[in-house]
Amino acid sequence: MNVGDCQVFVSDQEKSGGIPGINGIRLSGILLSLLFVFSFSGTGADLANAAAEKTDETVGAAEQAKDENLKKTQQLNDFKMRGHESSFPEQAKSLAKDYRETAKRIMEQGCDPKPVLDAAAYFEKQSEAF
Amino acid sequence: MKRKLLAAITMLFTIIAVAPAHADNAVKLRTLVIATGEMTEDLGLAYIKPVLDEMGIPYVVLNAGRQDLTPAFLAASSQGMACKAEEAGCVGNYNGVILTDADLVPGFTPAEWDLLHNYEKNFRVREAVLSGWPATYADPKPPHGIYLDYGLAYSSSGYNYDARWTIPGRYSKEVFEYVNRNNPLSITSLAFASRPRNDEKHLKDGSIPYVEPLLRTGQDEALLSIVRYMKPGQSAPVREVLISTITNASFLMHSKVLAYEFVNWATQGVFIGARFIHLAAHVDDLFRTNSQWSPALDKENGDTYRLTGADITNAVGKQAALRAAHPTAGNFKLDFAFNGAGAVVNPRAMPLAANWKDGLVAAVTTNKRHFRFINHTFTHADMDKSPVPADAPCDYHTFTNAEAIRAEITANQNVWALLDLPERNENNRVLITGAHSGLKDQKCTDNPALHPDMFNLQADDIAFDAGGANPLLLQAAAAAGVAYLAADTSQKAQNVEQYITQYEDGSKTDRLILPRWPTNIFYNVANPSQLEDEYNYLYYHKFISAGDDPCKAPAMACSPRNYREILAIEADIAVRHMLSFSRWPHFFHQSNLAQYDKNGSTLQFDWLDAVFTEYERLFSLPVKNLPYYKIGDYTAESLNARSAKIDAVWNRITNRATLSANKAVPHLRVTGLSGGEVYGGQFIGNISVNTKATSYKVDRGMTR
Repeated sequence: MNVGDCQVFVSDQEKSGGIPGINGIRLSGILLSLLFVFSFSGTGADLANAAAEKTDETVGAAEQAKDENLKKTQQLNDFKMRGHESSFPEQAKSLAKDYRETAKRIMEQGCDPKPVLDAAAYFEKQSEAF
Repeated sequence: MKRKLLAAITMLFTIIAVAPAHADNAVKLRTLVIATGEMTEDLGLAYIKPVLDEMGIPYVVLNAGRQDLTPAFLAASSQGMACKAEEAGCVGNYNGVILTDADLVPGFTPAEWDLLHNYEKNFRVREAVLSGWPATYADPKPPHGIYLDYGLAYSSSGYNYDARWTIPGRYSKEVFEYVNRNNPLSITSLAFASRPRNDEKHLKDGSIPYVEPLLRTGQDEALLSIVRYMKPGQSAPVREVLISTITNASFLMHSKVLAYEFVNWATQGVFIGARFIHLAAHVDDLFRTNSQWSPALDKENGDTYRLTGADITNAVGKQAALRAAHPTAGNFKLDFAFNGAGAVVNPRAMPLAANWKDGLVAAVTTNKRHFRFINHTFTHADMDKSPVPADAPCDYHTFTNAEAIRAEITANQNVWALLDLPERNENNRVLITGAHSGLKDQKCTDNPALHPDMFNLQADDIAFDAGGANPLLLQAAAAAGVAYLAADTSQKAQNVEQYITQYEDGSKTDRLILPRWPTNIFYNVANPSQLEDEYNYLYYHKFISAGDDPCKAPAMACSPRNYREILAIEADIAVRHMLSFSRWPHFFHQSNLAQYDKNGSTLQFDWLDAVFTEYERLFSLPVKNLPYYKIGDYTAESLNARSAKIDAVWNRITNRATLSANKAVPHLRVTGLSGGEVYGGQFIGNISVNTKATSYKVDRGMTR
């Protein structure tokens, strides 16, 4: 029995979307270096542009901070709302149990069940937290 | 030449062999939900069931852990016998399938998967998967064909993804039309991120899964995808699945954003029921004063606030600015729940006379077209039960007969006429009692200052469902022609739209409870510093003072919060309410509309602006802002529709749906019928159904 060559895992190379022979990190490094060289070899006009970019960066950082705050708020309310769900501990426990069954099925198929076992552990922990 | 002929014949046979067999091609408008357990066990079922209920969609749940899927469950002849799609008169029992889990392990067998997939193929029914592992499984029995494959290869797991929308153009009119695709969607629960394989590996039926991600991680991994099962030589998929590998639950914001599409996709946008997004803000106690919180004392200090004419004029401007700033707000209007005693010259003098010299009364009547109004009783009197014995100490005055309560109701209706406020007749049917009193028994403990020994004054309350409502109020309301009574969702058993059937009120009809959401913009605050102080007192300092850990309290204020943080939290909660599709309004108080700075800022409009900003970050769907009496009418219609047994069959050959019911349903919302209101790119009909079957043209609104 062969389940599509157990294709459920993707290699790191595919993950980074990199060019064969140059992994994602190296490619990013090269691009950053090029950016660094170009940004410091300009004229006055470029410096003005750089200042504008600096402003953009500040705006970008502010936007990022805003997004982070929104996410924190969302997580806070997710947590708060979960506290009101009296069935959640049982549901999480049941989910953990089902993921353990899924792990068995994955192993039967000749594949690595680790991500699903991790998920089972995650939900077991969640069920005990309440 | 011979070779070409042979190829043509082969192709013809291939088409005949793989084309789905469907004589009538008819399915009932009903959804099949396959779950892994009961509501208390299955997070996914607990998530999707309230969505289906709120939208009014008929559905059947199959608990895969305890029940087997059988052919008879899926399709039946007119005699009620199991049948095959190719047989004349065979009707599919469902026009959409929702799985709460992707692999349904251990409950679902390979044979059940085959049965389900064949049903989906033969009746052209779609499937939506709420969550789970993107499985690829082969049958352990020979010849070991693959019976389940979502075409995804696992890549990573996490519970903190900033997902981005990547909806292909071909689906732009069909799925997630209503989300704001410019902003990322924060995924805050465990998710399996995967990559589409899009290889040539096929399932045992010869179909190949072709995956198109709709939502991806920053690393381009798929979190939510459409899987089209293609067969060589065919341009149309044999099956279509929407799969989420994100954990979804009713308490998660991302799940609220995604919920509608699981249903809409599975049903191909044709279903009994509908969803709308609502927001209404009720400003209670107009014409009254509200006590004020003192940050210096951490309690009310005896000061009061009553709106001024300038506050009303300011509110008109702020409301216009809100509409201009938020495209989804449409013609949003505040609703004022008013107490007429504060708008007359002398509340005890009959006949009543409007106090036109009062700047507030003058400003309200001058600007009455900008707002809506609701009866809130004449003096905001307490409607709770009287103490037993009658002379027992009580924090509030109580009525001992229904006639006196009725006078409170009708006097306010009279002030409505005196002020010539709009839509009086419609609103005579609606009542908000002072502090929602009369629906539970407070047992005379209401004032914290009089009960320093009580940490929680509500601890001794008798809830609505435990006999706490005051029958005198219900009798008075019935006699005054009130049909709809406001309730507070934070109170036990009041967070349900329900007819009050358990109390005798002397009427042949029952009052209908319309719940309203409270917020943490308290009745006794008019500016941010008051709000900040009271909020932190209630959710943080009070617990510290009592030696408790505030982090363990339900409100979860582990540290004091500033005004902006409080607003953000409150806005997020309000948006969750909106995305539950409920019509329930949020209620506030007149103090919240006071101008607190030279820009005319108010707590009320700060909240509204924060809510619309957060909503528009996620959604682009117009927000419905209904008058309270219409919320009552629509709620009554929904309850009537939900209590009926609706039969609906969609014939895909004629593209018509035939509907009937076991009783008269004058207002049934159906999505995907030609005509009706266009909302979110879909047609939503409001049709009348009865025991006689009527046929309607189906229009999925794919070109809207």
